[in-house]
Parts: sequence; structure tokens; C-alpha cells
Amino acid sequence: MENKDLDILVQKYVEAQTTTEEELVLKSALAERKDEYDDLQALFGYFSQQKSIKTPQFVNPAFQESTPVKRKVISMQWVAAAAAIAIMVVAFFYFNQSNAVTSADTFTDPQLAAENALKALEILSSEINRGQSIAADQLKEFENLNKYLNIF
Amino acid sequence: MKNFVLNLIFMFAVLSPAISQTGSLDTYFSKYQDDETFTVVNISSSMFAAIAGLESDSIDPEAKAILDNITGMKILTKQSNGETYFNEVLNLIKSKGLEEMMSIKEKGANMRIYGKSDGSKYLKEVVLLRGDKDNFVLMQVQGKLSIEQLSQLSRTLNN
Amino acid sequence: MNYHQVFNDEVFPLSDKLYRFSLSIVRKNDIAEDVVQEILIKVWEKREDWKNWRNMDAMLFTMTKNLSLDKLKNKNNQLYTIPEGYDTESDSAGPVQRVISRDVERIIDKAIATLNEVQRMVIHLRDVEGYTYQEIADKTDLTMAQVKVNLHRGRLELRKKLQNQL
Repeated sequence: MENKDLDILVQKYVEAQTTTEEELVLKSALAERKDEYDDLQALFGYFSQQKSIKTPQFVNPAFQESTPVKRKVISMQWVAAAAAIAIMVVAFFYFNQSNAVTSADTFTDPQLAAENALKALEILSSEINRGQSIAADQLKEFENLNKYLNIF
Repeated sequence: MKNFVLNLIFMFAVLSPAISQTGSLDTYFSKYQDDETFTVVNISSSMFAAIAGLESDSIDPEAKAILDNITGMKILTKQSNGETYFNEVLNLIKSKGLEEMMSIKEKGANMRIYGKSDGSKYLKEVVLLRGDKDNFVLMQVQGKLSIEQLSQLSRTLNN
Repeated sequence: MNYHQVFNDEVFPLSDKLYRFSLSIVRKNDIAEDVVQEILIKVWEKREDWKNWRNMDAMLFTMTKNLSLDKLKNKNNQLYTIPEGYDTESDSAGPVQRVISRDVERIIDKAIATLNEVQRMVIHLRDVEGYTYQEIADKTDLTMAQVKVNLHRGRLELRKKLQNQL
């Protein structure tokens, strides 16, 4: 920028006739000059620093007034929800665990397991047959069994 | 949000008895499994899977067919105080979704068979409970069971 | 109208700007802080009236200006006090502007303190915050001509003082 133009721009600036764009041009033009317009350069430096002044933390009254109440309710609900979930999880694991404890296999050999299972089923079978033979005599009393038997 | 929590609590209230119900018999088994006066037999689903994989001529095909449809078996027996334990289990079993299929009472001996339908013609669980002065038997069989097949079994095996 | 949302989106985020604006008038950190906190509370309490406010942004600045001037009147002796040195963060100068030393900053602080409060506020709004002349007029309740006259006198005065001291 010509010195003359710069002088005119500075004059316009001081008279508060510059547009925002012109002021940007002025600032960058001044930044390239050394030992000229030191006062303005210092001022512009000062102004740009002012924008980063540390500001205090303000209390938000809208936040203060209503949100804490709301928040409290929400957090209580979440506590309840979390507690319910926690109980369910604990219950789930508890019962799973008790299953796991009992599910320690008695037999390690499938053949042996099969033989014993069959022995047990045989007892079950004979009991069912015993019941069936009685049921034939006392139909009424074994309604439920008949319900299943009649299906077949 | 409030509804969500209420639903959750409600859900839990509904589910928790269900959870404890399915647990009740299992809990009963585990309660006595370390008691040496009891005989405990447990055959897990993975063991039944292994049984299904057996290619043995020693097992009757019909019996094998039943075994292949079983996913679990638990037996608890004791040689004394059968009546006490019988009543204990009876109370436990009442609200378990098990339907009483058979009840025999003779000469101081009680026998019950409970079944849980799978919604079709099969039972997904059969429980045998027998108790007298000197004996106690609790047997739980799970899988895809048919009374017909089971009743045939003793004839098959005895022939 | 969702008052909370409007306040949280349009009012509270202006706190920093209002603080700097108030500071340009009252020249004291603690007073500016009080001013802005009071304004925030007042604006929130007047939320029923917001619908009648033509320009929320300008209204906030005007309220801040008036309260700042009130505080200044209550402390007449504060009018030309030397500012207590702002806490500025280092390396915060723009890419173009020269970073000024602490000494220079102090000299400029003093020079600005000698301006009257209207000159200080328009210079702040224009040179620090970068508002247009019209926006400054709206915010300060001045006419555009008054804004420009005060800007002109303030800048002239500052240059004169700084040229003697730098």
C-alpha cells in the first residue's frame, strides 16, 4: 500500500468513517510497517488482546432455578433404574450360579451316564405305568394325566 | 422417564418370582448336593449331547430315542425321612408352573408326577416325587418328552 | 416460548462479551462481574417480557451499559481510576497484530482510562468486539452519529496520548 493511501486510511479510521473491511486492510497494512504508526499498531495489538481477557464463571440463573430440581428427580429415577437393573443382574448370576453348581456332572463317561439315565427313566416309566393302571380304574382322579394321554 | 422406571420395576417384580421359580427346584438340588446322606445324580445337557453321539449297540433304539430328546436330568435320593422331604418339595413345587399329572397315595407312600407342557403334545419337564418313611426320590427330567414313550420304556427294557 | 432454551442459547453465552463491555465502562474486574451477574438474573426474572423485546442482544448490552454507568456513578472516584491490569492470556494476539508488551499494555490502559465512558464503550464495541456502527448504536442507545463522534474523539485522544508516551 502506498504511503499516501495508508495515511488516508488512518485518517478515515480516526474519523470513524472506515468500514469493517477497511479496518482489516488497515491492520494488515500496518503490520507490515516498521517504526510507523507505532501508536496504532500498539492499540490494535491491545484491542486484540482484550478479547481474550479472562472472564469469570457466571452462575446461570435459568439453570439454578429449575434444572437442579429436575436433575434431582432424574437422578433418583436413574438410581432406581440402576438398582433394579443391578438386582436383576445379581439375580440372574445368582440363579445361573446355582445352576452351574448343580450342573457338575455326576458322570464323565457318556456310556455310563446313559445307562444310569435309563435306569432312572425306567423307574419313572414304571411309576407312570403304575399310575396308568390305577387311572384306568379311577378315571376322575387322574384327569390331568388323561388329558395328556388322550392326545396321543 | 418415570414410566420407564416404573415399567422396569414392574417388569422386575413380575420377573423375579419367575426367576426364583425356575431356580427353586435347582436350588433345592444344590441345597442337598453336598449332604452326604443324599445321593445326587446330575446329568447335564452337554452329557446328553455326548450320549446322543454314542453309537452303541448296548442301548435299545427306543430307549436311545428318548435319551436323545433329553437335555438334563437330576436325581436326589435319600434312604430316610422320605415324608419330610416329600412335603418340603411339595410346597416348593406348587407355584412352579408344573401341572400335577399323577398322584398316588398308598400305605404311607406318596408318589407324584408333575409335567410342564411345551405348548404342544410334548412335555418339556417331568418331575417325579416319591416319599415314604424310608425313602425319598426326587427326579427332574428336562427335554422333549412324551408320556407315551416313557410308559413304553419299562416294557421295552423288560422284554 | 421455551425460556430455558432461549436463555441458555441466546443470553448466557453472551456473558463473556457483556463482561468485557461492562469492564470497558467500569474498569474494575469485580464490578464488571457483579454487573453481568446481576444482568443475567434480571433478564431471567423478566422472561415474561422477552416477547416485547425487539432485539434481545441489543437489550442485553443496553441493560449492561446502564447498570455499569450506575455503578460508576455510585463510585464517582472510580471514574478515572487506573485499571487494575487485566488478566490476559499470553500468545492471544491475533495473527496480524503485534504482540504488545506488558508495559505498553499498561500505558494504553491508562490512556483509555482518561477517556469518558461513552468513548470507552464505543471503542470497545468497535475495536475489540468488531460490531458495526449500527449494532453499536442499538446496543448503546445512541444515534449512529453519536457513535461515530465518540469513536472519533476517543481515537483522536488515544493517539495523542500514546504518541507522547511510546
